[in-house]
Amino acid sequence: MPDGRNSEISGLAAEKWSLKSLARSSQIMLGVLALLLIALGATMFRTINTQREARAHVFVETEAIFALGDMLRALVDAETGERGYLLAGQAQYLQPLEHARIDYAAARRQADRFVVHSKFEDERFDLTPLDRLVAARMAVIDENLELVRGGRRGDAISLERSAIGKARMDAVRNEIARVEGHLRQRRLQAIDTAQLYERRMAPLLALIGVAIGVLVLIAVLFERRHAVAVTKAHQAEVLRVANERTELVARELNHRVKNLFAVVLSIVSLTGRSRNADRETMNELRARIHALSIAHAASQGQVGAEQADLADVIRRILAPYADTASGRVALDGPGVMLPVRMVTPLGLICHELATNAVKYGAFAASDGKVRIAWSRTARDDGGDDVTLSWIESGGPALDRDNPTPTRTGFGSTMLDLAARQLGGSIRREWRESGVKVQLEFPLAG
Amino acid sequence: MPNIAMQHSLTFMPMASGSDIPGSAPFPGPADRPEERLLGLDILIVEDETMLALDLAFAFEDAGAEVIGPSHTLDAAMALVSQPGFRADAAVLDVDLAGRDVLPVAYKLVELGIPFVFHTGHGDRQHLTSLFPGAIVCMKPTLSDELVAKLRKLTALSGR
Repeated sequence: MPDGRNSEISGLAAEKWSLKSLARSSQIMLGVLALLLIALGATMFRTINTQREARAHVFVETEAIFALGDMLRALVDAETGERGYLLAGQAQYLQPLEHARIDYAAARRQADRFVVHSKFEDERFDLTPLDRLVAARMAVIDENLELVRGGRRGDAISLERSAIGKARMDAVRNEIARVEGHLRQRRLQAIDTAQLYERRMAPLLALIGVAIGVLVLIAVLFERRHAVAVTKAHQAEVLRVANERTELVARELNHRVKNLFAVVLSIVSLTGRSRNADRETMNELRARIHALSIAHAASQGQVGAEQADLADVIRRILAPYADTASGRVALDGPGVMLPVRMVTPLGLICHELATNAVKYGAFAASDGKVRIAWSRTARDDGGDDVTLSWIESGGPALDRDNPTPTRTGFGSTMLDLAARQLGGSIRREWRESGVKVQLEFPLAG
Repeated sequence: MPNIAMQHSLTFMPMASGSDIPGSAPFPGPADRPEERLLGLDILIVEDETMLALDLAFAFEDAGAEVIGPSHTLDAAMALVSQPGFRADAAVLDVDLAGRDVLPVAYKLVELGIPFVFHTGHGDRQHLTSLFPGAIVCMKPTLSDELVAKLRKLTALSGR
């Protein structure tokens, strides 16, 4: 069911949910959502990693800076010790110097760990230049110590005044600052990278939120459409069953009506027999009843049609006498649908005219013809007036003595009564060529 | 008289279908007296409406025939036609016999080579003609004169 519309009537009862059964839009949305989730997962993974890296960077840098700071402090201690010894000349001032050497060594080892052999390869810094500078500074200090131990204090002070030591110390400071600067740069870079991935997450999350929202909406709409379709299908089924049942009932009824007509005809015959009624009377009676049943057949079209086709009624009534194929009867007129209540009087009229034609008119001669034509003209109130003419030709010549033979008798009365029931009028005109009958009646709008 | 029925065991032999016997009732043939139209023929009537059955019986007798039955139920009809040595010249079969259909009797008559006319109020002509190709089906109500005429044509065609 690629498109929800097609599900309307087709059996929805045993639908199995599967990816294929979703609307195309839902499939696309699910695909997009899946992709977004994968992107989100990847981004989160990267973010966590880069943040971890950033933290590691910070840790390393901190330790490195501490180590470098310790190294610097140790050197300053050494300087202090040296100056003290220089000024006082007492051995106790050498203690800090010794401690400083030890501290420096320890700090240098830390620096080795976090700078030279940093776990971040691209942050490894070669401290050899620093070592050289420190060695140079320590060389001045050692020289001073030698001079003082050797009793040449004056030379030591001159050396001190020459500020070589200070210059070399400054060089050390600069080098340390350079290393620290490099480490800081790397740290800031790592943090930036972490921030980058972090920043990407927010819009991704927003997109996913939107996608989920859209999917939920689609799911709701889909469910609703499905529910509507199921209801419609159910209703259509109920209607179909009801129609079927009605048709069945109608067919049964028609069958019973036909049977009833047959029984009526038999009762008429049998009664006539038992009373020795004359044949003519019986035949006329039975023929008229039979005409009614034929007219009824014309009105039993579809269920609830409540209408009959005018041409159909005429054709059926005339069938026993002649059909259009034999050429003796011609029907000509537009389609006219009659309300069912008009079928009986019209049928009786046609039957009566046909019977008369058999007795005195066109059907009494072997090549007589009947032309039946009708037309409809619109009225002001939206309905139509139907004019039907029955024109015979080729029948036996009019009997001069009895020019209007069918003007009397019950048949004639029946024609008038039937026409009146149709709400119209009937007029008969006997001409040389044959009788012409004109029937006019109104049809409701 | 050649029994054409024997050559087509289950196909019904009268070639004419009910619709092309034009102008049957009101136009009797020239040398045709009503009381002789079914002269000397034995006609079986199977019909559950007893009034109708009686009326048909009278009508056929008026036309000079001998009536077998009428049978009003399927069982009675089957019992009748299953008797050894049962014979008839033609039959009129009501299709719906109080809820049961007459087809077993029809099959039996085909076996025996007896032509028949279906007489029914149901509109289901096609079902019958699909089972019995070429069968004549008369829609109720039919004037008895018409049935007489149809039976005459039928028996004439089958050479009785």
